[in-house]
Amino acid sequence: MIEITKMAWRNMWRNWRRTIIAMVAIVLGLILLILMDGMIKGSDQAIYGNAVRLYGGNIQIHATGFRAKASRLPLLPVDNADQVVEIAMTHPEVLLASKRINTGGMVNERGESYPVTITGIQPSTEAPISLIAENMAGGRFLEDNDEDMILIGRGLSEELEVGVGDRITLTGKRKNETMRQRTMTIVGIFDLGLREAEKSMVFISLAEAQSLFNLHNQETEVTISTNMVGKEKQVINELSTDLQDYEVDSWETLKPEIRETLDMKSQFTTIIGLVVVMIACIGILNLMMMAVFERTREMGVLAALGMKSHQIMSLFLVEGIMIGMVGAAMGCFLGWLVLVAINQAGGIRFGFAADMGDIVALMGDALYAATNPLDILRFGVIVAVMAALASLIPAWQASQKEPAETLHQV
Amino acid sequence: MKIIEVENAVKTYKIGEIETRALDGISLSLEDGEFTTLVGPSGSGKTTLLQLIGCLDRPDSGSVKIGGQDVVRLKNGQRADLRREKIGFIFQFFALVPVLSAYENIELPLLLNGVGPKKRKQRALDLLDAVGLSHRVNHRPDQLSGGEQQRVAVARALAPEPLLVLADEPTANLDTENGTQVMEIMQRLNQETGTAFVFATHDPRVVAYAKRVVKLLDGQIVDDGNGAIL
Repeated sequence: MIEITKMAWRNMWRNWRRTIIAMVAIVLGLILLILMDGMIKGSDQAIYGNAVRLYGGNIQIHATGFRAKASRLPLLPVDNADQVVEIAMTHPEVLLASKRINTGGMVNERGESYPVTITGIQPSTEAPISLIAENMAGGRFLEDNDEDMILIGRGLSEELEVGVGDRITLTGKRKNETMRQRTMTIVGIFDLGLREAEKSMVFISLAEAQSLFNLHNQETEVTISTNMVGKEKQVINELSTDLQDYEVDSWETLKPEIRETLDMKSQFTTIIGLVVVMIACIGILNLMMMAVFERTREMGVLAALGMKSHQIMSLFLVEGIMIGMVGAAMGCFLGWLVLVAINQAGGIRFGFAADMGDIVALMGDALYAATNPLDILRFGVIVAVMAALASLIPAWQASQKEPAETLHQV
Repeated sequence: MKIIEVENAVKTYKIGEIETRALDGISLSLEDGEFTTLVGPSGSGKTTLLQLIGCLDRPDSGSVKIGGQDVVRLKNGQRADLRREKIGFIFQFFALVPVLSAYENIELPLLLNGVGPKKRKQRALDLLDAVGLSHRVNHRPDQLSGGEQQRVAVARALAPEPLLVLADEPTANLDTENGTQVMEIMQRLNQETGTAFVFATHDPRVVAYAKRVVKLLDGQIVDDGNGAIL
């Protein structure tokens, strides 16, 4: 086997131009694959991470029946919300559990109305880990006893042409379906770099929301932040066991359009990935078929020397595998470098796409690539294995010829 | 002792729609240590006969025995074993493995036979010395002249200490000087080792060295070199 490997390695470089061309196809294909996967996974992380940041918490607990009407943000009070918070905080992965009222409404200014999500929060509870509190662009974050005070995003403030200290009118629908209006003072403006999303969110104190929506001492959700984004399933399973009369969800279920978008992108990556791998394999297949054709007489000589069919087949198979492995190693390294370079350069500017919709807006202004070494390695292994398979047919063909037939082929 | 026995061997090739009878019921036997040439015009069946003896091809009918063993019915793997252990080949086009050095080319059949590294090394170096190429150990075929390549091929053929060496037009691509040199080496090695050599050739220089000349014409032996005219 050592001799076969040595011969295969040297044969690889016999026609070095052809080998280089085949390797370039593999390398370019891998770079494309790694780049595409890195950018898509990066956008997935951005969408999911930003959704968590913006909508508040990885996990949310609601009253039974909320899930079915989630898109309408119904005012369904959570029974014993304090107890729910207590139970949630007993889990080690839970950083924060906070009570909220979350529903839809309108902001009215100078005769124009803008639909918004109105969130009543416990400022003192959420402030320590709130990314909104961390990203105040003007004014201050809310306080627990704020009355008639509102926090809006930079996107909305620019749309309304208002600033800190200005007054805007908030309209919401109460439980009994009556509309309530209240004029509030802008106490602070936050800036998360998500202009479209910022246009549709306003925050008031929980007490203010309870008054506005006639939900005295009631809340419509408990929002939970965990110490890891993307690993919510385990925590949800545990909480669901402890809180069987409630609905425990992550954004995957509450915002299914996010999940659908991520799944669709994943399918897209898979299809493109398959195409790229096939192209690389066709390159290797062509190269190995040429090699078998050119070395037909040489195979006859090896057979004459007593090399068996499987050994002759191994010679070509190992050569194909080596081309695949060397190409894959180079492709993985260069692909990783490309991702690192993109991230070092501050990502790819994506602000132009903010108007393409909420989910695209969640990608933020700059798109960074995810650089998981295991994913990169996985692509390299797939390409190397496919290269080996691509070599199999010509290698088998090579081994099946009769020595006399091959010896006289020029 | 008879090392090769061919009886009534027939071989037909089909190229497209055309069938050509390369061998038409040939019978031939060869003894241990012979230095024999097969002569005849192109198409007489010399190369085909050599291929049947060398287990590179099978006759359509008839038998071929090597060392008393019928080789026609052996499986491909068994025939490969036989070639590896008992038969050496020298080709018109030298046929060295281009990516291996002179030393490695000679070592290859020993490796395939499972010979240990020390014995392999000694044998390869001895053979390189026997063919006058000790100074070309690490040279690859593209760094050797035609004559040198053919000498390496001779050494490689003898490496596994075969029963016989089959040479198909060994001097066809060599000039007079190199051709003579190669033939003298093979003659000397035949005498020293007792290995039988069988050549297929047109070259009168090769015929001149032969102890026995077998004449073929149109797929039949017309003179078996032992005084029998067929």
